[in-house]
Amino acid sequence: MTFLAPWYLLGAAAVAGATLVLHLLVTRLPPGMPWPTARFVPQGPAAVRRLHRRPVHPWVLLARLVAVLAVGAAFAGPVLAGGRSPRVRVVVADRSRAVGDSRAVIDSVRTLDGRGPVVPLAALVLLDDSSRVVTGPAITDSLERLRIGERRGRISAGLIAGIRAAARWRDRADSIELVVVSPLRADEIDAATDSIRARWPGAIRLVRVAPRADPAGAGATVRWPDDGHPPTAVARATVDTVGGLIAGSIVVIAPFVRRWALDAPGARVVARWVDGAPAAVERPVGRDGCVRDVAVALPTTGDVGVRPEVRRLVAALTATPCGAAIGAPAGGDPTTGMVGTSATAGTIRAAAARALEPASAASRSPLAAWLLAVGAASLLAESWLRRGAATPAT
Amino acid sequence: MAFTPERVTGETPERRAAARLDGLAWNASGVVGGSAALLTAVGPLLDGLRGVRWLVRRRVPSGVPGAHQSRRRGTAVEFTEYRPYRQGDDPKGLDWKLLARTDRAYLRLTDDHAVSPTTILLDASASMAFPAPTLDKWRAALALALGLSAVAHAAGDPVALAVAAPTTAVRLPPRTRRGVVADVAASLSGVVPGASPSLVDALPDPRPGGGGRLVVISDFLGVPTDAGDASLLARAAVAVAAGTEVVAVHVVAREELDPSGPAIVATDPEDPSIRRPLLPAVRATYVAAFAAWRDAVRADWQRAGASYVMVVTDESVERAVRRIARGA
Repeated sequence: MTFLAPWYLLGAAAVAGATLVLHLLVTRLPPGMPWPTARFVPQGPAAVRRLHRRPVHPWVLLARLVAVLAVGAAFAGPVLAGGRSPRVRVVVADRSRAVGDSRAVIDSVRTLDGRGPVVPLAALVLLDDSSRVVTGPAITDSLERLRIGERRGRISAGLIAGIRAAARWRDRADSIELVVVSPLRADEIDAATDSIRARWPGAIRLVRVAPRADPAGAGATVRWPDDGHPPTAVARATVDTVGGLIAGSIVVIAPFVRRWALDAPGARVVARWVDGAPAAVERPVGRDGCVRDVAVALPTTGDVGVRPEVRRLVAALTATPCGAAIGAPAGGDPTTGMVGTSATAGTIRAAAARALEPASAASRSPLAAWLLAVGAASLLAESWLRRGAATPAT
Repeated sequence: MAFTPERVTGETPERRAAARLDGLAWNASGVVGGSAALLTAVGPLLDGLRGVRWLVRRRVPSGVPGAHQSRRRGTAVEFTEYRPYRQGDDPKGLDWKLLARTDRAYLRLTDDHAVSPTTILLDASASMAFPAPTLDKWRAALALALGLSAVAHAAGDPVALAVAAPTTAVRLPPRTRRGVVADVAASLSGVVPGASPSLVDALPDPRPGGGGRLVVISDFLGVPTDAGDASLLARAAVAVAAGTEVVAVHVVAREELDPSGPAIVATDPEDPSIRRPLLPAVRATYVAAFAAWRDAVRADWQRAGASYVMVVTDESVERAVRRIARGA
């Protein structure tokens, strides 16, 4: 048996201790006795307060203690599930091309405990563009044989697999720790990552490993002439001026002269004008390469070219790897939304995991109701015993 | 051989237990078994007091011949001394043979002896019924009254009894006849201490000629000290002035002197409005206040010319009677 909220049990124990002390602390009037020389006794308070070594009314005390402890145990959420672990860990290990060294991932997983208590590894989620969940004795072998592949990593898929694996352990563990071991590069995060992350009610422990040291813009061929006329662009019917450009989270507000239009069906739009027209597209070439056409003619007059957002735009369009989102997400650090702000330092209660799936019969233990009934019966018995006591106590 | 009180007085533990009237019990009408039970219980005490002489410290007025020296030069045959004849002396006292031989007129003087009527005034107020289970104070008072009556009666003195009882005062006129002690026992066996009777009201009228002996056996807790001429002390002072020997026997329970039991709320049996907690923390204060009061009582009685004797309940009654008889 375990308790979901053991601090209620500790509180009940404290209240029981206080009840015991108050019971033993008896204030009573001494018995009256004829005393001819009473006039020589000085005036003073007649009540005597003393701490008895033995309870005056042991059955009343027993009823009170049983009531307090039973109610406290009921509020503590007793669960009659045998073999529960106090804490288990689900690790999402990144083996995509974003990882620089597989040993870093393996060592990070092995050293998660640090100097703290050893937490058993319940599931290992191997992450690249798909996820594979490994449980049981195979975890050790899978971790040992972890190799970095050339597939793109998708954090969303790993989170889904990890949350599902954690949900399967909710009835067998009091606390589940979800750990993500990944460099967490921007190209591994997509639009669904935040909403999937929000399904995990606690915090996620993030262990970042070194990313693969790719040269800037590796695999991407950027075609960005000065006049903004890449080969795939066609002349617009009318030259116009547009007030801004959006690339990911980078927004540049400036008077751009728009002479060319990009006609790239099937290509990924990586930058758009403020009216929605594509300003830069990316087209895959070969296995991992791509061609990125940018139809933006930067103003040659004024200070537009030296403005920070323009410099960031240029860096993002020229250095972002193929397939990666242009521009950093809001806040700059992709781990901000991942880790969360739980005060429990990366752990959540199994009760939180229950929100992910319907509760099973094991969690609906009738013990709490029985304990409340015992507490109520003890209170009734205490009232009856107290009335039957010969002398009032406390 | 070591000194022990038993070797001096002949007391034994059995005699002491009997003197404390250990075998007696009381109900609403007095001693269970009546005067016979009381006399039976007090028998060892009376045996122990046999031969004890209780002489008055002052010459008694002339009267019925008795054991006490009278203030009057009497006509007894026992010669004491000569005194020259002075005008006005009764010529019957002249020693005619001496006058014939020497021609000098001398009176032949002899001591006169008379009885000293003894009145025992016993306090039967509620404060004497203490401690509640054993009534040690009342037992001691009864034993003292009977013992002193027996000693006085043995000297031929008339013995009178006055009890300040809760309902009606018990009075026994002075008697010298045989069976006086039994009469005293019969009177006392029907008394149950209670309420707060007045000792002054129970006090018999003084003898016209003065003299005699008045023994007040009480705890003096109900005796007001500032009641003026009407107080017991004032009456005692008047009696002393009239030639009566007054003895104040103060009966005190051992529990009153040394309250070592558990904490209680002490209630005055004669004044229920006095309810005070007798806790271990205040016992020293209580003991000091009680001792000061006893000293004041002793001083008051001695200032009135009376003898003061304090008897504690765990003291042998036989020894206490001997102390009183010695005047100590």
